[in-house]
Amino acid sequence: MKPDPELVRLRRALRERDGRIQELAARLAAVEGSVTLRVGQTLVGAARRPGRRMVRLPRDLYRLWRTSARTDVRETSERPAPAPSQTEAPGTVPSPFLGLTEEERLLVAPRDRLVIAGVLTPEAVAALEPYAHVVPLTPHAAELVGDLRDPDLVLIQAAACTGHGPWAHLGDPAATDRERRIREVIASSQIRGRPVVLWRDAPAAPGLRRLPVDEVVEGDLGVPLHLYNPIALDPARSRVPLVHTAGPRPPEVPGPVAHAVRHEPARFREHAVAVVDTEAAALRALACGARVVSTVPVPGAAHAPDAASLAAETAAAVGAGPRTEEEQREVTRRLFAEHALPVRLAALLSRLGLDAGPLASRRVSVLVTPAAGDPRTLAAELRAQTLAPAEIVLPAELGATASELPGVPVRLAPGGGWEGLVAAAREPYVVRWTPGRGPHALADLLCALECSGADAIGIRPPEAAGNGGTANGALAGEGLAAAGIRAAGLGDAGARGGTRGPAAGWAFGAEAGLEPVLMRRDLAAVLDPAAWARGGARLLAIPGG
Amino acid sequence: MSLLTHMPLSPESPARPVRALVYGDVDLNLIDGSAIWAVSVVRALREAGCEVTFVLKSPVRTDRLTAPLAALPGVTLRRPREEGLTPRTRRSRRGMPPHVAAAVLAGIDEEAPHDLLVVRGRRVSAQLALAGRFAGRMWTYLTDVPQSLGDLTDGLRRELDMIARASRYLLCQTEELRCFLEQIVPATCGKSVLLPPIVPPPPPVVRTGHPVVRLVYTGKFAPAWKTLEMTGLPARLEAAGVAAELHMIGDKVHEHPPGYAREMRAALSGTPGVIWHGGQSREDTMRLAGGCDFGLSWRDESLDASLELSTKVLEYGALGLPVILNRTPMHEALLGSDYPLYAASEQDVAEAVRRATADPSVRRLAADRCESAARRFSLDEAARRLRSYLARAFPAPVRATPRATTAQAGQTARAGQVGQTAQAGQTVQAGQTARAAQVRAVPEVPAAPLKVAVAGHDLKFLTGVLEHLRAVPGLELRLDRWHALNRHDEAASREVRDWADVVLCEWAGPVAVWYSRHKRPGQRLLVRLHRFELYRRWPYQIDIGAVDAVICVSPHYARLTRERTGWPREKVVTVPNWVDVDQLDRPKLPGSQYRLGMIGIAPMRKRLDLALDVLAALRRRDPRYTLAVKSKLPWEYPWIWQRPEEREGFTACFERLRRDPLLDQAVVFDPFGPDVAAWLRRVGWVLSTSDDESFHLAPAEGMAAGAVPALLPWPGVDTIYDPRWVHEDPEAMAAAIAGIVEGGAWERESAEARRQVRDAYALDTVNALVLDLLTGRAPAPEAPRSSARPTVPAAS
Repeated sequence: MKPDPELVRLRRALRERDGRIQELAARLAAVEGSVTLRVGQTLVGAARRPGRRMVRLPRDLYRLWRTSARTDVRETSERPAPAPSQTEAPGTVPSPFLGLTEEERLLVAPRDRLVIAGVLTPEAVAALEPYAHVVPLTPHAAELVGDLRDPDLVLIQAAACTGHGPWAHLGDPAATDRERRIREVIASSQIRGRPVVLWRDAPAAPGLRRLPVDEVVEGDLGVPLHLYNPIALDPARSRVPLVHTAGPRPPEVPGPVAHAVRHEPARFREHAVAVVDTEAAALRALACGARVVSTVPVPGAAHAPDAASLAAETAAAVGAGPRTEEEQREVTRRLFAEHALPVRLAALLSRLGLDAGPLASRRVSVLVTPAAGDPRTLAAELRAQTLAPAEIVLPAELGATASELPGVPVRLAPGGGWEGLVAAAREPYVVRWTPGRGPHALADLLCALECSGADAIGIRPPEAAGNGGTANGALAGEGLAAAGIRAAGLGDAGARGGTRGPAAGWAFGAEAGLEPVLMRRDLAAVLDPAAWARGGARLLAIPGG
Repeated sequence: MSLLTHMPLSPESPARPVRALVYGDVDLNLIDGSAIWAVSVVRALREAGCEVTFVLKSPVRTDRLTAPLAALPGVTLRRPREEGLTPRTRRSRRGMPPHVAAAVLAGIDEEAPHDLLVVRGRRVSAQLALAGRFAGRMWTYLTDVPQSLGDLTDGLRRELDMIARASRYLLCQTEELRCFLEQIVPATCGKSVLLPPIVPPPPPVVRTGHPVVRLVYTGKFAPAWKTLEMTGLPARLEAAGVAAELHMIGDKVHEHPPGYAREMRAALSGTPGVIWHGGQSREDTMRLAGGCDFGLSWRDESLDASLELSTKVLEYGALGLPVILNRTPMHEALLGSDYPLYAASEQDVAEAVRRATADPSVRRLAADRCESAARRFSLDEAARRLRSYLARAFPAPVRATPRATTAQAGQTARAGQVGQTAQAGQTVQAGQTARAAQVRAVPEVPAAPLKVAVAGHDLKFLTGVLEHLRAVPGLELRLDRWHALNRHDEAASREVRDWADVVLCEWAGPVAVWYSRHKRPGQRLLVRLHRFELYRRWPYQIDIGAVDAVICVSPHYARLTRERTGWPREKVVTVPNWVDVDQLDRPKLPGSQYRLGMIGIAPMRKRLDLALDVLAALRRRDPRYTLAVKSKLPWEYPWIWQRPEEREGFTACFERLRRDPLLDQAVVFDPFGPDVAAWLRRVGWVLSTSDDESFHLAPAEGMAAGAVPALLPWPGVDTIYDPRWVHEDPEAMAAAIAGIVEGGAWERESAEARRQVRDAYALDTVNALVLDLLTGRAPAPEAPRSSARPTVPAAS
């Protein structure tokens, strides 16, 4: 029997209407459960009853946003598939950050450096600042600031949870209110996919271990060489051992001693011998030129696990006197390569899957002049470097050498001469390469750069190495601003105009005969240290070696 | 807190002792820590003067613990299963489930009402709280609570809140647990008290010499308790030249993780130098342990944050054993930060044994520390604490006042009260001959219960007093809660007016106006004036002729009141604000001498800006100083934030915090809440930089917590606080603070502060004064005194 057309039409209309009803019901449910509606209700409610409700409005809205974000994360797997009409444009991911999408955030918040927020001591902030934009958090604003700044990494430092700072006693049950605050930060960060790290660099309340962090780092995060370094050490510094205590029982050292509790570069620099009980103190004391005796094993320090060896090692260190320049160079090299803060920080970031480049400051362009000597020798010297350059810029006539330098980007300068090489370089710092440099040349230069933050590093001619071969020997009689020391607590006198007499060790100042080797690319066009100094650039002189 | 010198009396009948019901969700057939706890608490309550009924959870299969209790006079054991009190369908060898226990306890209480119920166990406490019968009588001992915020669910929080509201006291084993509970469940604030472990005296131990060093471990065998690692100690010590054996006592071996139980049992039974004694009676355990040289309580670091103190450590100490254990803040508080036998690894344990064996003085020091610590956890100490809690929960009854014309009446009436009110300076004082002539005759209080009504819109400043009044035998209390300062249910107020013998109006506002105009003949009417009322129109609307006494919180405000209102001098008396000194008296956290504190910063007359000046001056000298502020933020008070001058003042303060590098990270705003006692542990100085205050309770609360007060000279400050704490300006305040800290005198000042406030403003003292006023026994106020004479006595 042929179907009645009218009946068919009516059935089709009924089906379409049922479908429409279902769609409308689904959309109504979504609207009623939506944050948007609740925001509207909150706004209307506040308008109707100003006073207390108005005061609470920003907080209520903020909480709605936060709740929405957390709900999204938790219930994603449980949420039914949205009706087709509600499907968002493919590729657009809603973000909890101030209501912007992920793509919009990329436009709104460009950043050139890693952003680290956290529970940090002032010392840690100072140590991290060259490598990241650091945002210290206070308990009452932690969650809000964390959301606004959207850090790449949240760092909770145990040392900041002891003592006297805003997060003191975090982890102790008497400070559960503080723990509640930091847990909010942790939850918020993890919702956004930002890792949270507990940095256990000091004994702290055991409750810290219960924080739901993504990773725990034990011990020191590395020595900040821009704060602790052997620049312009006083060769007459005291041989009275400095006992640095972090643990509950200080090491017992016979004889006169000085004491320190906090990490202060100035204190470490005043003493040629340090007795310590932590890795952190040992590394800092080593960086400041001290002979170190440590109750815990630390590379470069004499290990003294008991009272007898402590007395013996301390006496030996005092008797040995200050380190020679060569000894200190070895110590500083090792610290730079293995124990400096950017090294350990880069390793941590790598483990966390973050690409933020704290070692970017160690990138340098090596500019090879035509007078650099035999190409094969040149290539061998560059391949032997313990710190590889970010790129090598060759003059066109040495283009064939590129094949001898595998693994390193090589750029050919189209123009001739030094200016052409400089113009072709990409990194902010360049090295003028001359033949006969040892395998640690680049490492030593960049280490000196990291320690000093100078605009240029020059190598002192060997005949002007100073008095008696002692490490960082006596400064020239002018002794002063050439000691432009950047360590905390000591002034940086900067470079002075004019040339100076020969000094020894690492020291600021434009000295006569100084060979500029590493410099800012914008200074490199004219190799005139005196002119640089007159222009205010800071030049660090280091011994040849 | 003075000790009771008499048996705690029941609120119902002054003639009989307090009846305590005790129940623990524990099986006394197993001799473990919880069973020992239950037995010890029964004994301690009995020592404190209570008649104790102890209800057993499980049928008695072994009476090693119950038989000695049953033999004690004043202790009654109830065996629900044997007595047929449990439903037949619910009988189980494992004992009563919580809901059955709650019903059984209700039934026992129905037979013979008890004054309090000490209950251990969260689940049974929740059942009891839900049932409601024991509301206000529960003394709840919670151990099975979440140990961290991460373990706390909303459901658990609600349950704990319900339990707290039903409890008179929350008995906390440690200060850590108490602080944690107060900060997660506000309802526990003010009622959480300490009941540390009770270590029964060990049985006599005969020590004999032995050629090897003996280590002992007692307890469960579980991964976090490091018992498997411990079995490696004899070999490790042998390698270090120390002959040693390890005695393991216990028979509970954990099954997780898979394979652990097998490995553990193999190690116990097959490792040279390890002697496994299996499960033993408590007496035999103590005897075996007493014959050893070191007790082991080294555990995995994941347990370092536990809120509970291992009783095992104390039991070892009671036996004279030095204990090797983890370094934690709790253990450092117990044994000292320089205790020589802390260990974080197996190597540390071995090294500790080696060192203490090689140097007997090390072992002796450790043993002495442990033994000394254990002595603080005696049965006598527990009984002393319980007496103090009983004294507060069951105060002396109010007595009828004879017609009084001489000072002797006042002295008699004061007998049995805390006798230190005579030192309370300008506040109402007792029994001074010089004031005898001022005592007026007061109406005789009838023998029937004294009916007291407290009326007002905001009673938060009276919570401690109200709690006391509710507990005083011979007194009935009703509240007339006004909806707002000027809004009330007039019919309800009339009903209260008709019912009450005495009405106390909290705040000299509209409530006082109404009651003064509607006072019933023969009724006694008291009005408490704080501060702001004096600058409004209400005092002039009050019918002062109907008012028997106007209570001011400070001598200064009493004088101001008289001056501004012209009210009869004898009607204006001073009763200071109260401070719960016992609740606030807690150990300080390390570094607190560098932390300033402010409680309440709004409105602007509290002068947050001046506090920042103090902080900045201190931080110029030492960056360790910080300021903790416990307060609502000004924008949370609409009536403050809408005032331009307030907004401008606070904005300037917050902008300064944002921009001044000297104050960077130096100020923390902690949330407003009742957990003041826990918060004050981190504060070493409480500032009062206000332009004007009537009393300013915050410094007094701080003093009770050992925080040294630092006050600017607002009018009348020296009538409340010792002038030694008052400074001319912020710079002078900062200099004084720095001088004390740098001079190493902070602890001494802290102790003096505690003493002063306890002498003058303790809750017990103020309660007694209020009770005197309510019963009409208070003499007329003395003549006003010079503001140079402080209320809180200066140190001699």
